[in-house]
Amino acid sequence: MAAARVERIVFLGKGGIGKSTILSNLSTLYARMGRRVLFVGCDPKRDATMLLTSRTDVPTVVEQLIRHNDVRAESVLVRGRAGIDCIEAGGPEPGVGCAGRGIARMLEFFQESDLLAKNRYDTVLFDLLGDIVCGGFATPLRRGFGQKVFIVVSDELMSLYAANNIARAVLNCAPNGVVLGGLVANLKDVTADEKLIGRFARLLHTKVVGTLRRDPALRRAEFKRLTIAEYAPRSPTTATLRRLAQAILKLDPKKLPAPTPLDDRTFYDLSRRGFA
Amino acid sequence: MRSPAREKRPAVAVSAIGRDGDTIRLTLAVPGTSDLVVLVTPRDGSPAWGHTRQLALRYEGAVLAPPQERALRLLALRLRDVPFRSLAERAPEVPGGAASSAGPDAPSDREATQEVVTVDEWGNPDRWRTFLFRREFQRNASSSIQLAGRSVIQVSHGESECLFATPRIDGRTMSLYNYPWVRPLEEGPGPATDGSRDRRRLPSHILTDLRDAHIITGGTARLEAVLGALAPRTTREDLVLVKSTCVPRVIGDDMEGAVARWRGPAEIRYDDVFATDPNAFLSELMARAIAAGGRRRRKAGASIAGLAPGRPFEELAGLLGDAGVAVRSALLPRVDLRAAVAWKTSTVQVLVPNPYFRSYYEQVFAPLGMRTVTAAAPFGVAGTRTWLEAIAGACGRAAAMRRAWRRLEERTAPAFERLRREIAGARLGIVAGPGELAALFDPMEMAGVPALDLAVELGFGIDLLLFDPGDRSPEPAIPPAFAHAVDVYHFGDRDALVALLHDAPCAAVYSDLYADERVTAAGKAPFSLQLFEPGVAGALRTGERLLGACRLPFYRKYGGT
Ligand SMILES: Nc1ncnc2c1ncn2[C@@H]1O[C@H](COP(=O)(O)OP(=O)(O)O)[C@@H](O)[C@H]1O
Ligand code: SF4
Ligand SMILES: [Mg+2]
Repeated sequence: MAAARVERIVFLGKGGIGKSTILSNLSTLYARMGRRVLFVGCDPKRDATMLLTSRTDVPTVVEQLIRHNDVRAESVLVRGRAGIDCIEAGGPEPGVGCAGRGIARMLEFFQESDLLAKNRYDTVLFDLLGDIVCGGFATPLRRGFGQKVFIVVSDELMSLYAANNIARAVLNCAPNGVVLGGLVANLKDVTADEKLIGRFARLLHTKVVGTLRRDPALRRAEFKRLTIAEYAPRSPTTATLRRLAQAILKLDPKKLPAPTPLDDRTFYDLSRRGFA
Repeated sequence: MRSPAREKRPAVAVSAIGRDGDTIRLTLAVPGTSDLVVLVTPRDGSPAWGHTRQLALRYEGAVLAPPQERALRLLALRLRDVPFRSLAERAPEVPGGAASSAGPDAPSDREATQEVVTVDEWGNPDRWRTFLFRREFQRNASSSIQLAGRSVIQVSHGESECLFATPRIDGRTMSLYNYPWVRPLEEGPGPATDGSRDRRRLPSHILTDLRDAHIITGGTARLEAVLGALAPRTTREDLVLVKSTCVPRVIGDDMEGAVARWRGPAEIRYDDVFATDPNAFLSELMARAIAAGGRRRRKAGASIAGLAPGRPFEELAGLLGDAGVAVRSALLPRVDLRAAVAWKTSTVQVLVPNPYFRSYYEQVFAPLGMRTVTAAAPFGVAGTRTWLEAIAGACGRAAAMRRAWRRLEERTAPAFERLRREIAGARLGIVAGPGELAALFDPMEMAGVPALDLAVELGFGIDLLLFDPGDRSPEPAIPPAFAHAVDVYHFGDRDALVALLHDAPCAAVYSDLYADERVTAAGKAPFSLQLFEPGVAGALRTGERLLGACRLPFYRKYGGT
């Protein structure tokens, strides 16, 4: 039997849209399926691994660099619940230094230690910062790292605007084998216009691969530092997330079309008509 | 002197040669187009495509394709000094002019495919032919400024590589390491110290040395940590100078803020080495120090700005002294604030023309209202004489200077005679575009150094390899004073430049690029403004250095491709 493909999944989207929440749930579900999961936190906020490890003191790659001027796998890989390995890039205090360089440095460590190539993991999930502001933040989209990109959106205009920009980044990184897997709708507003997101997806030449709704249980789970898959395994949200996890695995990167992001002017013109 | 590179490899491929009476037929293999048949006859008055010293060159066919024309120019260059007879001896007599295949003795070979060394820059289509990097002079000038005369503690905010990676050339050798015998310590930069600082064990130079982690998390905190540790150990007499390299600027470190938050008795300044304008703080320091000094004395004296300390300075100050003019003060590029105090005690202030010090001259010295000499920089024998006479004249010591100069001339004449004999026939190469030509001959465009004047005064010939854009625009003129020394060769593309660099008679070629491979691959030594020194003894040393570059066998042996 041919070696199974390593799933390299990247979540992007406007800040606060739900990337870390969804991705840590997906990690848990994949681990439950028996997959060997590596969760990579690429946001200098370093908040994503907290849900998976029950720890608030996850050592980051940047901290290791500061302390020892060197990064060792044993000191930055933290085994979370459900056997998920977690690693956090970490970064500077807000407003100083170069966070992008921190992420790039973590991926250099991946290469130095052959972390992704040793058949150690079959599912690697990258949790990125909201906006790709510079080349450093885009390093997870380089060859050999992230592959299937998912953009989390709501029906808010600015979240769609960010999604359109991210689709551009995906297109730029397409030569590295990066593909757009689709949009994930996270409708935190009960009155949200779900169809609008569908129309927008079609304009980008992509699909909505999953739709989550506002669920107070998610918030409660978060306060308990648990994923909803652990906190409320039988909830409708967990079921939705499970379907999303399956859908992501089924996507064949070779068959995914290149996205067709809009230029800013067209975006604003079409947004006036609800992307109809 | 004959350039050995010329023996090494012809850049023109002659594929066949034959002779019919007084006409030699050469067939040139021209890459990318058809062969060109060239008819070579002894030079006479009849019209021809071109002439060498003894030959007339014509070609068969109606029009020349540009590559054919270049091949023809290169052939003319190769045959420059070749007498008709010696060429005819190599060409077998073939009645009717049919050429025979070029044998091994023929003045050609098939080696024309040479590895081309070029220097490119993306988006700059002219980089391959750029040898003069005037844009970089500015940064050199600002980093040459050394502050002294006060307890200066320099805090360099950046990485160690930046400070140690710049190699140094002493004219003939390059040094990638700071071996003390290559780079004597007293010559190194580093601010002067006074005893008090040493007693407090303060370093003269501290490097924050940013590592990867600091770049990610920001380097301002590290800079502030250094400044914080320094603060309590400084006194009001100290000056803390913060300089930064590129990285802290790229990641947005707040150097100015760190300096503003300084809580120590010492004065502190951020010295922006990337500033395109000279540093205002330096002007202010100089102006303050000068203002604190006394007024003019009666005895003749000069204060000099723009002349680096070292042997040339000592020689020139000595000559002024012989004429009874004391040098009371000197500023720029070394800024010794103690010396500034005596500035106004001189009869005249001398501002040596230099484009990078111009605004200091305007901001600091012009407002002083002193009698000012701005004669051309003292390079070469003639230049040095004019400069000295201008100063002595302004101080009323003209006659004494004439006597001092006569003595100097008597002393140095034999050395100059010897040097000029050795230099005779040696040629220096300069590659330039038509737009750069005026700058080459203008010292103010060449960091204040009249390099070509000095080289020509010393007896060097100049091979000017001039880019011909092929647009038939009129060729820029060589200033008449240089016309006798300059031979112009044209090139229109990279291949022609590579061939010219090989074939032109010059043995050293100007380039501001460190160990420029385009030059070394042609078997020649690069030289730059670094070799040029002011003063009379400086002119002798400059001549020896340039001659040394011409004679350097290293690149001939190992540099050629
Ligand atoms: N469907 C949802 N229902 C309720 N709360 C949600 C939902 N999705 C996300 N949240 C909450 O929104 C906040 C931000 O989500 P997070 O995953 O941190 O966003 P991101 O990683 O994109 O910045 C979190 O407190 C999270 O619990
Ligand atoms: S924008 Fe990017 S490259 Fe620039 S400092 Fe921030 S993280 Fe670094
Ligand atoms: Mg997040």
